[in-house]
Amino acid sequence: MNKKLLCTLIALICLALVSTGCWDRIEVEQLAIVRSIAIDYLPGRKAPYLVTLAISLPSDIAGGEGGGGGEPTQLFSGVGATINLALEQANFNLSRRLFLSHAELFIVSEELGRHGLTHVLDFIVRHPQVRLNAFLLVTPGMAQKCLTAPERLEAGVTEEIIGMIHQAQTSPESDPQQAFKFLRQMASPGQDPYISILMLSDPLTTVIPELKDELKPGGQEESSGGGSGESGGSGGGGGGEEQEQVLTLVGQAAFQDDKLVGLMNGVETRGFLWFMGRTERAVITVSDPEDPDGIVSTHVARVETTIKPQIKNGQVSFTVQVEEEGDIRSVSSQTNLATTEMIPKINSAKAAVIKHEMEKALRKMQELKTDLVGFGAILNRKDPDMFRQLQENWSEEFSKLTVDIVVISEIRRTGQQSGPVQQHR
Amino acid sequence: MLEKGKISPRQMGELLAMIMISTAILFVPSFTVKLLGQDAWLAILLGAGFGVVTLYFVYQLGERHHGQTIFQYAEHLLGKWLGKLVGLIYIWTFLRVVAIVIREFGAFMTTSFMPNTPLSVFTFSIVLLSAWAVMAGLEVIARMNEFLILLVVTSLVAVLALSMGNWDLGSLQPLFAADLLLLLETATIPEIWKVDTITIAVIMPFITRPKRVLIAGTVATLSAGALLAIGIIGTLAIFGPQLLPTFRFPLIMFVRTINIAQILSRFEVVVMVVWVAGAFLKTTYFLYCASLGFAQITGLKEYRPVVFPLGVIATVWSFSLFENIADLEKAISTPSLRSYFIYLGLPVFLLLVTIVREKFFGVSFGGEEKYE
Repeated sequence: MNKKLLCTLIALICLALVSTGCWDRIEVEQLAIVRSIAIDYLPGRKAPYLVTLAISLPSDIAGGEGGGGGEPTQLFSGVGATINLALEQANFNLSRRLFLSHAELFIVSEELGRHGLTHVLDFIVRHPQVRLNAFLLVTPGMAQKCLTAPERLEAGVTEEIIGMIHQAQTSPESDPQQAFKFLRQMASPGQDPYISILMLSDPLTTVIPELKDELKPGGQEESSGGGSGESGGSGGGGGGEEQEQVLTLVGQAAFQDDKLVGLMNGVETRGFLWFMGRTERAVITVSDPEDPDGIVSTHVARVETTIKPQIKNGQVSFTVQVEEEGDIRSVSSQTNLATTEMIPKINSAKAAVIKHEMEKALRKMQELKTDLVGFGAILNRKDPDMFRQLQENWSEEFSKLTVDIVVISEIRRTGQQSGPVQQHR
Repeated sequence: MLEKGKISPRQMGELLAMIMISTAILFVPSFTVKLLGQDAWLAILLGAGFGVVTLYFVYQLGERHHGQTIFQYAEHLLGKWLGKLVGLIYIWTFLRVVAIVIREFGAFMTTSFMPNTPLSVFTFSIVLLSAWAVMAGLEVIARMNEFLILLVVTSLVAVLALSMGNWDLGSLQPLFAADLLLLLETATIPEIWKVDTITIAVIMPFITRPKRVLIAGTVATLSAGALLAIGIIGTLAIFGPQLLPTFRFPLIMFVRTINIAQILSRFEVVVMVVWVAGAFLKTTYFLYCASLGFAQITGLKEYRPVVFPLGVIATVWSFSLFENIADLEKAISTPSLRSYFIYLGLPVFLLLVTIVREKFFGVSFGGEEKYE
């Protein structure tokens, strides 16, 4: 009897000890949920890392009311000699504990990229909360400024950028990388990593003076300005306010190990994406073979790229074969293109345009000595012994590499219209 | 008899598979890939094959000493004191496994999920729970495992299947580039070599159809090896052989990359479930083997009184065995002469003594007639 009572008592005491929960428990209301992290590098200072956190309020996420209760995203910054120190400093201004598990975005400045990303990558991997499938982006100028851009279609700036990333993944503007893919490329021999560029660019109203003049006289008449057909221009229409810069995701930064060595613009990036077979939905224009003023726009529906190494007398070269299929999207002239004679002509013109684009990208990569395509890695898989000889200075080898580009291009369909737009003369 | 319960060969196979899968998913991928690059999965398969070799010798021993555990027949074969010494070596081995597993458990939980929680919280709770389960006996452990293994295997298969969208099998090329000697040596590191089959020497008398032990054990070992090899192939296909070894727990990093349609993501919990269930079962099972052995060599009528003391010893040992996580990793990733001796040399030696004494001295070690 007595023994049983004792056992029960001991069990109860043990239960009381466990019921307090675990050490690392914390309630949602006490967390500052970080959605994106912008990291700037300020050279010449003792505390060079400027870290800016975009923090979402959990009530806004749950309620979904968005603009109802003030700003959906708040920015907090801190500087420090390391990212962790900067985070600690940012914490001084915070009423809640930082929570990084939902950080989906790391934006680093070009300056930091040129300094080297080792510290940032180590932080991402080592921290118990940060996730490896967060996206990495590079921005020219201050990374912090990207987070201050206004959200336009989504609830917060992070969602806005994430949306742009998903958009970019299915279109040929750039190839946004998750952190683990970047790490993997960086670690693989014969392969250099790259990160997409996010930048703030001026809206069309400042680029095109006519449009600006049109909008100036009456702030209220902006609806008529939008109705004139300039759908791109109406994006800047924020009423009478100063035009805000808009976020743009295009192009990519080439890295050698963890250091940024050069930026590739949109055209070069598209050329690069041909090597990856990732250019579906691209628009390619060729001039009308009959009428030099006419422009034919074609839409890419399917791409397949195969890269094969060839070794002859100890010399390595590569053959890149691109097979592309698409249809005609618009024609600005009166020529009937849907004939068996015309289509092969467009096909060969299109193939030439693609090849030119790819060569441009290749030249740029060779100039920067960055093997973003991973020619070395492909060689390593096919012939590891050969690659081992070249591995030591592969970037030098790559800059002198001969790459044969063969493009096979086909037009399959001509859209809903079979002939040209009919006019009676 | 100290143990009155009986388990079927299938339950035994499930037990074996479970204790092999559970610990091997955490530390193993990292150091195997560090040693062998993209051919790491070969070492895992080879290690499973070596496990079957150990199983074969242990099975032969069990067949010849029907109804006896290794602690009993070692005494019959080698005399009282030498036999007890052999028994002590195995008790020491099993307790060491318990100590390592609970330390790994604690290290994993504190590194990946709860960095501020003291290590001892995890260690104490798992040892308490395990000791409680050991008290219930082998049959209960085996039945509990029937449920847990279902959970563990389905979770692992699900996680692997969900990640397939990110796989790039090109990172497995070039195939068979590793040095053969290094491959063989790596396969004999105890965490890769499936030495858990040695425990069959302890539980064989409690299996209903001993004839089927060999086949059930082989199937269990090879399928556990295959699952682990696929796991390594998956992690390799995502991270590649250069990046993977830089991670402490590649599987956690692996599930963190899963994100299907922005909805199916954050599967760390699944890994935690697998690991908590696996570590718990492995601790329980090895603590059981050690307790039973201790009771048998000291001639106790019950093994239950020694469970808690042995648990305490293992707990203290788990703290003192390693200074930090680097120490732990080094200890489990280097092959040692000791493991060759315990997992291969000693069983082979015992088997030789048995055969010699049966053949040349006509001694009968009990065997079939006793129980058939």
